[in-house]
Amino acid sequence: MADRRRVNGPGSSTLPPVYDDGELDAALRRQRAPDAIRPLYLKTGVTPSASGSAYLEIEPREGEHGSGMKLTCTVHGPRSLPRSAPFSPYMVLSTHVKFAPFATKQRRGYLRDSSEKDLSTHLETALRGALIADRWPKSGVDVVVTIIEGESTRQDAVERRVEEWDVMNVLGGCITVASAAIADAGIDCVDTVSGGVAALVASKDGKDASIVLDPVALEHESILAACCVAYLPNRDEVTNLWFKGQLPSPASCNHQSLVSRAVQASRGTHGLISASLSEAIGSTQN
Amino acid sequence: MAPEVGLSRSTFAKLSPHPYLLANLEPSDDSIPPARSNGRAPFEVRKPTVNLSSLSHAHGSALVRTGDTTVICGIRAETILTDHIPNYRASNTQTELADYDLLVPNIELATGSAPQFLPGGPPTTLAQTLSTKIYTLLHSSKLLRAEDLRIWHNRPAEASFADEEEGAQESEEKEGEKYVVAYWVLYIDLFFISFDGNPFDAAWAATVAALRDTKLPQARYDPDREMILCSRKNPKPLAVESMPISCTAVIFTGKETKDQPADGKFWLLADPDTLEESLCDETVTIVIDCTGGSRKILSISKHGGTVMTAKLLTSKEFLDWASKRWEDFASAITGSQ
Amino acid sequence: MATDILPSLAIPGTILGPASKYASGPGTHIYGGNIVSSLLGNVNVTAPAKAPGPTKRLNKITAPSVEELSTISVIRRGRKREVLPDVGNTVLARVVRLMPKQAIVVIQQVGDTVLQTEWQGVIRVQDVRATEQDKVKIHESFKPGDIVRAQVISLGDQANYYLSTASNELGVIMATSDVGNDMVPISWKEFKDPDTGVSEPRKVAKPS
Repeated sequence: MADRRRVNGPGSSTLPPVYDDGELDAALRRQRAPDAIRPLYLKTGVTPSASGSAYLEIEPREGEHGSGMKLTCTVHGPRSLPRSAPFSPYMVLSTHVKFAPFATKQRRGYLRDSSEKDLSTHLETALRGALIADRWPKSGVDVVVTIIEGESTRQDAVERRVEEWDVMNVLGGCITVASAAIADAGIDCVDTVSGGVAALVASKDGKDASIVLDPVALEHESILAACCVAYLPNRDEVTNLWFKGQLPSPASCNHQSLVSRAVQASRGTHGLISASLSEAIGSTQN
Repeated sequence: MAPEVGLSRSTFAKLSPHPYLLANLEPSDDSIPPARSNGRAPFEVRKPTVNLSSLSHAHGSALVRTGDTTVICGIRAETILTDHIPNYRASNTQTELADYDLLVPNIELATGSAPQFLPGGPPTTLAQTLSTKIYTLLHSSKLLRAEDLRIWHNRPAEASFADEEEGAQESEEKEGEKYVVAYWVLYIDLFFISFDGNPFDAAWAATVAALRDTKLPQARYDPDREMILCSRKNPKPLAVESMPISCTAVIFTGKETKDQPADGKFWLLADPDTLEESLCDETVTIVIDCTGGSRKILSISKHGGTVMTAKLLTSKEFLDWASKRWEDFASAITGSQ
Repeated sequence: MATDILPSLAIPGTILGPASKYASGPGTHIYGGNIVSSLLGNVNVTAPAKAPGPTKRLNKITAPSVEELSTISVIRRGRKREVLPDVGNTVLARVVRLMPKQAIVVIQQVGDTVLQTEWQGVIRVQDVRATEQDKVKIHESFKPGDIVRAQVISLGDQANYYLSTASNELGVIMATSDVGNDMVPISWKEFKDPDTGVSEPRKVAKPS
């Protein structure tokens, strides 16, 4: 079964280190206000041979080493479609999301897994709503996002199944970095789409539910539901929405409020990326 | 070249890159110094920069940038019990690294690092070749000591401590003996963020830098659970004393087709970019280590073409260039530690 | 001119001005009665070609027509953006393959813009030259490797742009001989290798 085109090593019998002396970092608590999002660093043009590219780093929690999120995105095209492709009067978008093997706590393989496919599909719908695809007839564009570093540094992340919540943040990052890379590539868009995440968090026994923006799963006892939106702020349109989890039955909060908080988070992200995009063009030309 | 008159420089470069490079290297006007299409002098390299420990999930990592080629290397260590190694022999203390496949380098180009490297397919031939070259050089350079990857265990000295099932094994070996119970396996994953020629030099430098940055946790064997347990305290760095550095150049002959007789004229273009690699058939790579002031050559390889003779490969000029390149990389790697 | 109220930099989605006062140029689109940027770049305002002076159309009291509006466009300076070949563009293309009735080429440059990606085009035998089309033979007009100046006549089918060299200025501009030397044009239908003296037939572009 092993792929002969890679160096496979001794096979599946290796185990990641198991630590028996607990975590060095004590239990973490959210320091930010519930409606504050983390600062981010954005740089365009990191891959000069691509039509457009961007690097996004979401800063780690304050006082913590590591555990930010680091993503790169390259955009190739618009370029001619493969000969086998049928005629298309508009631009054909394809998206790829890939975790580097060192991006998460568990080493990931090179084969595309289901979470990467999920992310690619969500990213595709998110971007398609923003592109003005009919300006580029019979052409294709490839958007490739590589996750260099995901979140959740702690050992018990896997046990507590926080990874499934982290994927929301990863999608939000993918949308934002891809949006910047597409802008860098000079492909027409109706708006700068940006990702935002909100979650309904609660204490361990499910009490005291409240909504926070840009949640870091490790900082909360439990997450009941989370929502990631791709949002066009100037048009007030949502191009992609991903909702996960269950809301408690006596609806202390409904779906709508969670979505609107996610939109609020993405407005915040939009503000940050528009500032750094404007700075990028301002600095290269003056 | 009458028909070219009236074409802009960028058009000329696109339509006929070969004559364009030749024209740059052989300027008609003596006042213009010869240069490559990218503006560098023939022997001029792109200065490397290195960042270490930028990844928090890896045991060691490095980001190496030379010009527009950027590669990130993450090293992750996992353990394997010797019981699980099919061909394990306790007497083998010389070739463990290679025999048990403890070093696992892989190169990924398909991140859109260049327009020709898009995800979706199997690794390209270039990616496979590079992975194999890194693998070979890791072993042949003896960069790592096997001792660093061994996890020892003390068999209980007294028979009273040993339970029955272990007793059977112990009859073969002496009691109280220290033996290797497991090995660390190093997964060395190299991701190209941006690709503009000369991938091997950058990938190899990233590998060396990341290995020097790698710290393995303290590990011990728990006989009851039959597994390796690690401690977060005092991780131990790998002992990487040598610093082999790869230096690559391509040979440009000025002739577009191979069947033309080379008129003896050629240029050695150090640290080629993608365009130059596509215009040249002959590549030479020398791996040297100048640690401690003495120059050691670990490997010289060249493929294609017939220009580089043994005499040229060992000429002072060539070796001095390689030494200079070694200094660039070595200071970039150690300077960032 | 009310440029002062316009932002100088724009990102996709930036509202640049009302569509009643400005016309939408490259890099912009109209949404909700406003000109909105669709690119990341600098905002340019171009005055209408004819200044809307009081000497003209004094009798009209309707809103000014489109050509009287200043055009807003968004352009990224200092950086190449991909362009698509369009009908009417003059392109430079490399011949890659000959077929009995057409030549397959790859477009390398549109206008003055060198392309990063390659688009395939086809020159059909009837589009090689303007006269005596029935006598044209593809293999006497082009050779693989030639650089051709041509004009886009149609967006074509799913894979190809349709190109034409049916004009004096259009045709082969650079060619190499069988032995690999650069050749020079000697007539409207021949290139000559200056080293070997052998000439080869081509559809030659009139040197500009």
